[in-house]
Amino acid sequence: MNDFANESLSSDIRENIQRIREISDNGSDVMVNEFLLSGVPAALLTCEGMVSTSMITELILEPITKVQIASADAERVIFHVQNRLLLSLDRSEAKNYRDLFRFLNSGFAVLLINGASKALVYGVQGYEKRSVSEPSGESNIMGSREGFIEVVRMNMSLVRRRMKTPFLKMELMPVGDKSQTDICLCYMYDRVPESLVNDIKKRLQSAELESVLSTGYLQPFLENRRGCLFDTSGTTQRPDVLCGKLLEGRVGILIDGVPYAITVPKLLCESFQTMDDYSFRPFYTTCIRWIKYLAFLITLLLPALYVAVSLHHPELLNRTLLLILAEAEEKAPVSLTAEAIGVLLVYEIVREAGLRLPKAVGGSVSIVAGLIIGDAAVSSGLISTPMLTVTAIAVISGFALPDLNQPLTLLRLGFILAGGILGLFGIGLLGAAVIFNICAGESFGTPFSAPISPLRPKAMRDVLTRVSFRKMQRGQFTVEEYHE
Amino acid sequence: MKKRMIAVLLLALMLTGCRAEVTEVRERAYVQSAVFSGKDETALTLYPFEEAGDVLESKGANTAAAVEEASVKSGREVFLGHIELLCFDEPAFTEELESCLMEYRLSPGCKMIFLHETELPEDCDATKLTDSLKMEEEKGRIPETDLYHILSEYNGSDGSALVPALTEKGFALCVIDGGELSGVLSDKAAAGLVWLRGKNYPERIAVTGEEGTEDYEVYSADTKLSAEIVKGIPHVRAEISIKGNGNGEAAAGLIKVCCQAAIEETLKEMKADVIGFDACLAQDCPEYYAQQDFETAKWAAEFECVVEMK
Amino acid sequence: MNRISTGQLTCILLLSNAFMLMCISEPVGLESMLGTAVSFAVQFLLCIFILMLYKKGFSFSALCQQKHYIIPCLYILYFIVRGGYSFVLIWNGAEQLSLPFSEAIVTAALIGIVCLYTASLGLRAFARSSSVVFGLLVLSVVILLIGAWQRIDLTQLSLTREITVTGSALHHFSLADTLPVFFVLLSFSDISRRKLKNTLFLPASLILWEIVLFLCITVLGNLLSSAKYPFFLLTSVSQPLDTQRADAFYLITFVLLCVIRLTLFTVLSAHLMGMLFPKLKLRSIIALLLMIGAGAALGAIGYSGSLFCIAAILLFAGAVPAYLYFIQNKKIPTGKETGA
Repeated sequence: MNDFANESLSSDIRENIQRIREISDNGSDVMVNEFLLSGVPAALLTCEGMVSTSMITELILEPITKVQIASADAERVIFHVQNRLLLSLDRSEAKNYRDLFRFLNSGFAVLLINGASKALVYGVQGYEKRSVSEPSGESNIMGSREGFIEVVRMNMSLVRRRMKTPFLKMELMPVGDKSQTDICLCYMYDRVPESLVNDIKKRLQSAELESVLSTGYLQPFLENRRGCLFDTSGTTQRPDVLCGKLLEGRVGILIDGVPYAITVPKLLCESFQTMDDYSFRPFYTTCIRWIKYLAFLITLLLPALYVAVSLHHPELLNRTLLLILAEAEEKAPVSLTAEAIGVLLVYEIVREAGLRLPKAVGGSVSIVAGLIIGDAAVSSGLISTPMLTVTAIAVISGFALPDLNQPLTLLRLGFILAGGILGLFGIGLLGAAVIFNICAGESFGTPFSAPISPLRPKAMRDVLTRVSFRKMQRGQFTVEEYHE
Repeated sequence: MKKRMIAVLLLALMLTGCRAEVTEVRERAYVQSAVFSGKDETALTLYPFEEAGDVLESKGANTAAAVEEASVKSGREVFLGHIELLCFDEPAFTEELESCLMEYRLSPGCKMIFLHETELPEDCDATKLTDSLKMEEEKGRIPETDLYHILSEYNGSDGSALVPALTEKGFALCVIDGGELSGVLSDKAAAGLVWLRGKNYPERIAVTGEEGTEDYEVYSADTKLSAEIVKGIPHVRAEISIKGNGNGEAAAGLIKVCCQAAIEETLKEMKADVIGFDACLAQDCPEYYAQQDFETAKWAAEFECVVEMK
Repeated sequence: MNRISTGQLTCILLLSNAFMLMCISEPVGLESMLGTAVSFAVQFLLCIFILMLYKKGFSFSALCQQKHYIIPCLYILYFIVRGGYSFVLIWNGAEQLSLPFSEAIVTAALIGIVCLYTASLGLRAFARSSSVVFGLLVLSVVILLIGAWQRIDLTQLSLTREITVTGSALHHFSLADTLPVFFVLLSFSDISRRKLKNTLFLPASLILWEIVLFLCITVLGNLLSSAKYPFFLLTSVSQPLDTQRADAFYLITFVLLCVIRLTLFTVLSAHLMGMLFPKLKLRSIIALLLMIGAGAALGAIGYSGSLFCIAAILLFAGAVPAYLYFIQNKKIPTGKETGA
């Protein structure tokens, strides 16, 4: 059945329709409307639910059935339809079954004419889609309220509306053996080196995927294989963020059916930047950015430091803190390390439960977790209050950096184990391994740790601080400057 | 391949049984103050923080044994890293200070008191005693000391250190030299050392003038030691400049008397350098300092105290 | 291509020097500060000589292409011995640190395992990590300064009778094992950048050494006479916070420096091995195992030979570059390709 991919269309319409029915195994959604086009047998194929009935009636059926050509044959009919009738703005041809099915299942109307070994296709998509709404994951205060939706063409228009320059290039290409998902490569061709675009294309084309149902299907092909703990390709739900990244010489990848765009190359410092940073005043943004760096350290290291210092280096603790801790831990049934890991695991379970449950029930999860389990665990002495406080601070700090949630969750547990078993020595060892891991990360030759290491002092204006656009406008910046 | 090898190595290391010695928070007894007493056998009395338990008493052949015994008795690992006050009645204990600092992770800022022919009262409150000592220092009655300062002085060339002492009359100062008590200083000498060491000056000096006893208010003060060799003999000069308000002449006279008493009692009688005399000579008279018989010759130095009131 | 920038080169060598600074176990005095300055001046002269050689187009790969195998072999041996000696310093120093286990060998083994991972990531990751660790080192020094500020006593800053400037200079020179490292590491820096600013690590290291020595002298004072490891004692008496000790925090910096130094020797040994034996696999592991072996042997014989160290440094950073410089035009081609 799979050998149809490169099979060319026949000039016999009967044979073609027969083959289409064979390939689709008489599937109910393939609609074949046979009719005579100026006396020549023709058929209009559509996929049910993918096309707009009114549009197809108005734009295709009505004009096409009125065609009258003297001594009509396939060649003349096709010439007439192609050159005299516009029918749709989105027009193409399919010469083999692979292309035919891709168009058909993308919501195109396929016109087969007896005697022609090609099909004419017209974009008359009319499937249901979600309207453009505020992104759920990347909320902001001052920026746009528009987020990507599941339709790639709509997403392309969201980007294009913000970037009217002809230097912004969008290239569509299908990926996925079975899904034939449309993906769109967006980049400013005057700012992105050709080699980078070619490299990305090569990697995407070499991906032997059956389908692309989310960004995670493509990301591994865009990252290097050095076991980097952090994602070296970014994602965003916001067209304005994508535009910002495109202007910095990054490449964006839009995927049909996915309301996210992938951006490459990605740097660690991007995880600390939001759209709002560029809306607020620079001093405030600089302060917020430093708070985020602090939040990063807190979420990663606070529980581990608490465990390590309490168990191995209590002399580091303040006297009052030590006494509070000693009193709280008096009745704890398990070791401090186990307690810390337990609390974090429970938090992860609660978080996962809250995410997966229907929204109506999700709210009650936090009530059960926060009020009932939390309160009961503390009052029964199963968990000490300082431990719960420390964990809560660490977790809340993590909320300030949603982009880094996954690696931070794992690393936090790792650091607790290292700190619990080996104290600050263990934290130092794991810290060394993590620093090396981050510094080894590369995204298409761009160091993940740039511009901190290798140090690019010029870039500090948007890393350590956020200077105003008066200064920012001086000297165009592209991520290519970091390339090693 | 390498990752697997690293995992195998880590696993092998864990299987060797080499694991960390972890003491849980609840398995420790946190001590606020400690009293070390006895010469041949160390008797240890540990006062935990108010909230943390009862007083612990133990004995051992040496300090380590006594601490271990205390741990056994209390059923918890005794943790001395948060000690605020260390009392001892045997001067030889100073010999062990350095090892205690490293081994028991003592804070270098912890206070020390030598119990001179007295014992801590039964109802001794360590916090109150520490606070009293700190207040004495703050008011400039005795020079500022802590474990770090005492240890630093004790490691000096002459091995003597100035240690606050608790006597039957209250706080005093004593000099411990090479693990032995050189003597307890008079109140005048103690007051003089405050001026000579120049760290914590008193806020007011009670002086007797023509109109009876009055206060001289000290706003700020500065002490500078300098030395020069005159006819082969070191001549050390302590210049104390004071900004204040009151009967300056009487105050200067009193300070001079106190400083002379301090020099007499420490440098002349006890041969104990507790004012940085050695460092002053090394800095100002390097050639004299480099001579072979410096350690014996230096005691022949002459002292002069100059007080300047502004 | 493994290329490192001047800044990264400076960071790597400075961190390696900082590790030696942490592990100093000799008496320290005002003379040590002067001796250290003299030692750095001598090192600077040797560095200029090395730079002149590189300016002539020298490269280790060209050397191997010409089948001059002995010199790279000697450098591999030197790096393995110095790496082994670093292990000895770690397990000696571990006794002074508040580690959660009593076996010093476990400390070295754990650091070794982490180095195995870090070395496997290559020279570029190593160079970038050095910049990050350098930042942490600067932060540690700042915290140390804040903690020690209250205890600084300038009257302690006087000449001592036990230490001489010459002795201190010689002793410091014996610790200057970064010079042969500099010689090899320069192969990886950009040819256009091989200028005098590559020696920036020397003044930077000098400043670091002088700051720490100054703090040791003025803060520890008389305690120096009995201090086995002055730096560790300095961290235990300098308190940035009111009552509690803070020395355990420097443990993190110490561990990072250990990892950087051992990774440096592992990466360089593995790289030179790769030039000599291109088909040899698991070179980092072999290099690290050899270092542990060397460390065990040096520990067993109680090695602390300053004279041997000075001779080795003069050989690898003076005599060999001089030999190569003089035969440069005759035997070794001046290839533009310099890296690995």
